[in-house]
Amino acid sequence: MANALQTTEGKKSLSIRQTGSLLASGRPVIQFCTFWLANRLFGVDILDVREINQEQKATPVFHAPPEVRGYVNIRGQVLLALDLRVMLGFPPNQDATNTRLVVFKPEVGESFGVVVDRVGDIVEATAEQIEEREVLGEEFQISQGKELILGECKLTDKLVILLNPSKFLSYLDKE
Amino acid sequence: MDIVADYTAESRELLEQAEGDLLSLERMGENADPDIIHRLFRTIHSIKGGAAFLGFHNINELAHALESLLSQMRNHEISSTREVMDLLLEGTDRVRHMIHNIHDSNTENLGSLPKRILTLVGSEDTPAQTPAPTQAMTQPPVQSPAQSTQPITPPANQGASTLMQIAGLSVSREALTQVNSRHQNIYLLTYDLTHLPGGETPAGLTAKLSREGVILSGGLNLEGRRLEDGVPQGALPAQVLVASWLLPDFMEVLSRLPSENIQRVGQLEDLLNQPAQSVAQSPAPIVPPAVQPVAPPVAPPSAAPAGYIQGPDQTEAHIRADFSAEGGHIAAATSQENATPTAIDAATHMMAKAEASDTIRINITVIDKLMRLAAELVLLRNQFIRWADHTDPVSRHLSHGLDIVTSEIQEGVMATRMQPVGNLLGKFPRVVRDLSRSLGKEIEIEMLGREVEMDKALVDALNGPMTHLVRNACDHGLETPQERVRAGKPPVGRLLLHAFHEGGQINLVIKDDGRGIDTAAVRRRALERGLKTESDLNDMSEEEIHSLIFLPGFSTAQRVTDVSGRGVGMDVVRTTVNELGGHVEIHSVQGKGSTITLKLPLTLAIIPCLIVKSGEQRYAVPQVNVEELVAVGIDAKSQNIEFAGDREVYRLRNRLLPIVRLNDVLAQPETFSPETRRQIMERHRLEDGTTLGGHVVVMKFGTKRLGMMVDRIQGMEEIVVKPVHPALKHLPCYSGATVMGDGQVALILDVPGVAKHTGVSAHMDDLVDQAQAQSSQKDQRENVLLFANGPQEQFAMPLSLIKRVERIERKDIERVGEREFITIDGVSTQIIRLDQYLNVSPPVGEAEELFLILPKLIRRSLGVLATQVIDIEDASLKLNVDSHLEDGLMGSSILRGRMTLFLDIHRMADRSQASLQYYSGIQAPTNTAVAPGRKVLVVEDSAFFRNIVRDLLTQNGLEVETAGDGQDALRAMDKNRYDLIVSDLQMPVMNGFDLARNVRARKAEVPMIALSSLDSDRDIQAAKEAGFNHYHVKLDKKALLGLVKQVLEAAHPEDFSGAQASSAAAATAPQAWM
Repeated sequence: MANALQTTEGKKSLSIRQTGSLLASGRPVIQFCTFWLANRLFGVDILDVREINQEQKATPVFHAPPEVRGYVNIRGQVLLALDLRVMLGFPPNQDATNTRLVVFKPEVGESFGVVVDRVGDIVEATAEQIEEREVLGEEFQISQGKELILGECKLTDKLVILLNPSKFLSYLDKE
Repeated sequence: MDIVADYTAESRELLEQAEGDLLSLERMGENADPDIIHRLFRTIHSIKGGAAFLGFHNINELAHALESLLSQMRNHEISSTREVMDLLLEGTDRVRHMIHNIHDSNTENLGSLPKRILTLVGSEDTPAQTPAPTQAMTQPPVQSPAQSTQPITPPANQGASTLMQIAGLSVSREALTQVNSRHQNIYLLTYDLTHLPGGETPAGLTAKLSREGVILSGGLNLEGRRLEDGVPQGALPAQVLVASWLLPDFMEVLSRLPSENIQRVGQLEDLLNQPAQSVAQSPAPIVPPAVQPVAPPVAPPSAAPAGYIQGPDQTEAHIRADFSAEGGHIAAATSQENATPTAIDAATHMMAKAEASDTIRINITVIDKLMRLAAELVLLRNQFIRWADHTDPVSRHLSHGLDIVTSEIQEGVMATRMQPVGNLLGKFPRVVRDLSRSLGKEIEIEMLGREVEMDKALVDALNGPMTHLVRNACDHGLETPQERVRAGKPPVGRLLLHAFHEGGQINLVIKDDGRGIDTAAVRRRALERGLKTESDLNDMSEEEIHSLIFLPGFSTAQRVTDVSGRGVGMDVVRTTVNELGGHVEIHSVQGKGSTITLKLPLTLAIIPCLIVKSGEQRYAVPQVNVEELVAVGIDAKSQNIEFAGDREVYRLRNRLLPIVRLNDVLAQPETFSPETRRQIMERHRLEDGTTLGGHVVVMKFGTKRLGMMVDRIQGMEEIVVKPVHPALKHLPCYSGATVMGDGQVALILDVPGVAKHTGVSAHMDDLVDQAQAQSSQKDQRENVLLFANGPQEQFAMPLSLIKRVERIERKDIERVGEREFITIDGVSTQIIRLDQYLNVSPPVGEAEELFLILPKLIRRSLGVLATQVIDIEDASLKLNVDSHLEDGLMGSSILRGRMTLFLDIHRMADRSQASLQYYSGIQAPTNTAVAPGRKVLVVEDSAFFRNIVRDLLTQNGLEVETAGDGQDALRAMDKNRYDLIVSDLQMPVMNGFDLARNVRARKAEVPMIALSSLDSDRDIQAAKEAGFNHYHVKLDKKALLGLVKQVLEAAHPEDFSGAQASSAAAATAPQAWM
């Protein structure tokens, strides 16, 4: 289960952290790794994801901000697990049966991952389907974490809220 | 293979040694040791040879100038005046600089330096100019394809006319004339630099060739680099022109080259007889066709190198075999040729020794990787052992094996990272020399413990702080000679750098006998800078005031010099040391000097930790911070915890210890305010004014202590430290994380951070019973653990030497042959039963539950068995150390009204290593007074034998002092007079033979007994010739005693004639406590 998903990296693809914008990456088709949080579907650029792990028991770090779930050990490496629900202002998750840890590549930020309710499919979107805009507020009932959100992606059957993982760690400092 | 990198690495090592040599040369002044000059000469020569070989002409030129100077010193044509020394130092510095920036070395402007050196050497050797400067400026050293051969020319004196072309390489005529006339054969050797035969390095090769001849010139043949020849990039042919006494056959063996790569191009004599110009203009008579030297006739020149170099392995193997077979012949031939052994032979011999080094260079990243993997292996081992079925014998056997191998791998890998502190300290004599000059002071530096090893990362990281501290001591600490004389001190200031192990840590001490810290000045400055208020300062001890110099922005220097005093140093020192997991202590007495001690962990990657629990969470407390564990009325009301001000304190042996609870620390993210502390205190205060007890970890940091109450204590574990995640760096309470045996992450607590978080500060010391603290300082007191083994004796061991006490069960003890083991923390630990080593009573009965006292600072895992742990007692360390003390005891004292034996745990550890039988053999007391009161110096490098001999002689009424090697012994003899010297022969630094020669050279008549395991007639003869009066084979105790008696009797017949009753009685008195 350790490597449920290993991303493949196209040689010429640019990820969001290189361009600051999904659309500016110049990729005709962008793949997203999607996951569920409080019944909303979110997506991150698949090029930013290192692997997805079954969530392990995290060791709490007292005195750390509430967004920090704790330290987890992934094959001898100590990672910092963040709680994306807390970061986006959702209530705590009651059902932990399908939770996963989405681990990001070192280029995104030093050894960290986020805990999500459950993972979704990998979806593909063209530039036309992506809209980079503020989606905070009424529409999705997301009360905070504005700077984490890039925009949305409209697929035929569903809507994906796009996140920028390279902002996740710096979000901890804002308090 | 990067040859240039190899050359620079080796040159750096050589230069490091050269610097030490230069400094000792300078100290010797007029009476320079010729051996050192020779060594320097060889060093510079090797560097020069390598530079010539690789085409670094600037280095070559400068080295040549230095070499000429050294050669004159060697021939006593010039003495080591200050000017000479300065030039030599400047020159070697410059060479080092160029070696460091090797690829720019050829464009370096040497200025007048070579000329100045050569001017000193004598006018006839002064070069008119450096060779071809303009060309040099524009040409990169090795890679240039512009020329087929890049000639390297030793500095020529009278311009181009003296340059001779030999085999396409230019050689200065002047260089030829300097060649020893026995090196008649001139060879042109062609090497492939990318595949030097037998894995040789260029410097090694140069040294080898230089031993049997003189390298005249060298160059790279880059013609074969044309792509159209279709030659793979592989071979890089280099040519070396050597004059040697060796005949072609031997040259083949020495150079390890096939014969077609060795060309004899002429005779030295012929070349010298030829008029210079004709040689320069018509190289034809001696030089074979320019392209041919490399190639066998059929092959095109470019293809040749690749061909022969990758040639049949057979050839190479054959040559190698020849070499080893012929090696003896060469040596024999050398000594025949040169019947009287000269200093050159000595130097050559030394080089040969250096070359046969059994070390290899490894890139540090490889080691780091191994280190990481070893750490992972340890974790896997821990997990496996937890999982393995211990009831199954096969599984138990396998996990035991895995356990041992893993531990050894871990230790081994750690050992590869260890470097002697000498690497760090080595540069300081020079630093101090230069500083003392520029400051107009006289400073003598002494270094102890250079061999102490520490992690490479630490050695690297400490360079800055140590340099600062040394500079500081020289600049601020030590006075000028005038000031010193006025203060009644010797004019020469002393600086001591001392490294040693203590308490699982490395201590680095920087001690000077200068003016010390001016407490009043520090106070003034602290007030001025607003760092502390008047009332703060009044509350502080002198030591704490001194520690203020570590605050950022503090500097007491009256003036800012370029040496120190920029006010940015000391706080950086402390920060760096703290970051490395260590701390700094300062002790200073005004007018007497200062001592700064850096205490550092042995390694950074794996540290022993105490694992404690708060709820279900585990936390690791570094063992260096753990002083002791105290159980304060577990889960019961404790009368011993008191309330003082806004916190709980525990009275621990008359010192008040502030108490915090880990649960409270974790629950409170903000730094404790007095209000929080009060609230917490009130929460724990029960109605009757008591509070609940628990497990208290007594933690120390710097000079302070803090008690932390935890829910549970799980035990000690060696953990692999992982850094704190950068996003959490600001949390003060953690210093890292680690993965535990079950795969869960645990946090490492940062003890100073926890203290700061909870507001335990310097003020806490007010609570300490001052009187108690002071009295304990006066008369060296220490906490000792009292315990018992048999019914009759009470034993004691200082707590500072104890790692911890483990409760064990008899059934877990396993016997292996004579010895007993038990597994503690997954490590097989040898059990020491005191009644087997000392003449003490065995335990009565078979108690199921026993105690194992695990000492600190012992490499091997062992523990002392105790049947009963009595208590911890504050005891004076003034012990009764009667001469009849048994081996393994430090002394005795009366504690709690009982005679108590203090264990010498290190001796016990030594002894446990030797077989029990052996000991029981030599332990039989031989109490016959020999010549009471006579002083004997025992010189022996092995602590083990040294102690045996010492104990044997002291038991027999002699006064014994010991020394670790010959030089140590000579120093001891400067201070004391001895009636007898008993010395080992094989010792490091100065062996027994040299010691005897030195002693005799001093006209000292003292009788000397050689004690050695060498017993050939030749050795005995050599020892006698060196000046020993007697020879004794090690470890025949009775005979040794007899011999000592006989020797002393001959020297002092009066001792034996009459009254020896009193001291003899003392020596033979029954050992009181048995």
